[in-house]
Amino acid sequence: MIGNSLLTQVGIAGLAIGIIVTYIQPTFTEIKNRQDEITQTKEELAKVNAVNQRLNLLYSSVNEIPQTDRLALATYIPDELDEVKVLRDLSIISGQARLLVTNLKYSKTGSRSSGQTDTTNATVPLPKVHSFDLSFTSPYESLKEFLSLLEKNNYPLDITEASIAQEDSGQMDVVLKINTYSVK
Amino acid sequence: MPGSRDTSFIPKHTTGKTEKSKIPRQLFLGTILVRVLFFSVMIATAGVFFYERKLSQELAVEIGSFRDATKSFEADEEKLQTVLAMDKKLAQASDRFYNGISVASILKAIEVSTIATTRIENLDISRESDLELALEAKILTDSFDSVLFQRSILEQSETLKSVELEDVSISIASQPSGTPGAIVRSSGSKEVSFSMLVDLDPTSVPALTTAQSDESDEILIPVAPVNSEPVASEEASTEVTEPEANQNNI
Repeated sequence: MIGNSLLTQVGIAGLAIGIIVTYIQPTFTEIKNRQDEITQTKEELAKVNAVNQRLNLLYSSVNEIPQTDRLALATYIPDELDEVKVLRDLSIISGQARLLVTNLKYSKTGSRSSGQTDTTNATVPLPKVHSFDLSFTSPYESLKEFLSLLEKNNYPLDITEASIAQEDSGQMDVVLKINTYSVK
Repeated sequence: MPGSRDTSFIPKHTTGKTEKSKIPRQLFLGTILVRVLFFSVMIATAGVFFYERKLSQELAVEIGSFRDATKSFEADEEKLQTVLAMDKKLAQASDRFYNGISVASILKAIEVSTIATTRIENLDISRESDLELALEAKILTDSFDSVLFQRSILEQSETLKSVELEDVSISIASQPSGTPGAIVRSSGSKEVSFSMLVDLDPTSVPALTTAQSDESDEILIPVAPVNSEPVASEEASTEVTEPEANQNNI
């Protein structure tokens, strides 16, 4: 049994304090750190799980898009543009509007200028711009029909520059710069 | 034997009262405290040791779960790319769809806002960006009164209200105009020319498809398959080619 002498008591007290200082107190700090780490890991795990869950949900949504809609989207903004097909489409539309085409050519490829920012979401990635030059002569009615047909096309054919002049014969002399877009 | 009373081997009968040794137990408060402290420390040490061990195991489990989750995410890289590609394409399509403008609508607005005695010689439309749309026209008319009247009509237009007239000048016309519906001029008649500058709000002239979509509150789904012939429906031509009173003025 533990003795009762003063020296023994002091020794026991010193040992107890020593244990507190050298083991319990540092271990308490360690426990606090562990608890923080566990909490943080749980939070991060919850985030990762939420992201995984969201990703699976979005992937399912993407897969549920009907094939016709996918094709429509691929037509509206193709991954890569076949400029010959656009020229062909412009030629067909011009023919349907009974225009006398004097010039139709693929002008250039480029990115949208910095001024062309989206009004609602500034983070919209910029598509690649493909420009086409089209010049023709036509009556005013045919010009309007042509413009209407352009706007009804399955993919955007945006007129960015238009110069319309009236000839002496009453016909319109029209020069257009038409833009369409692709992802790449 | 006399005088040796205590020499007998016969045990003496005692009175029954044993004499207890009276050693005083000195239990001090300090001793109690020290012992309580010591045993508390020992118990706390054991508790802390096992709790810390339990937490370590728990942390290891959580880290393992986290690693599994991140591995699962990395394994879904293909899914992520598919979703991102679709999102990008949809964002671009939406951006282009809702920023489209209708040049036909601009012409229609000009038709409606052009008085009978004016004739548009040249019309230039330029779209520097989605937010900028400028229109410049060179217009001929017969008098300054017509210019003033034309300006007041343009200012009443919802689409063309931010109009500026510049370079107003008068000259003598040398040739008669053969255009039906245009101003009637003869040799020697006065001709007033001016330029019309308009900064249009692109949202005031949305593309026909966008406007129709907004009206029906449906998503536009082009009907033709990829690389098909462009749409050329009859309704397209009938909607925009309604005769206007002043349409021959351009």
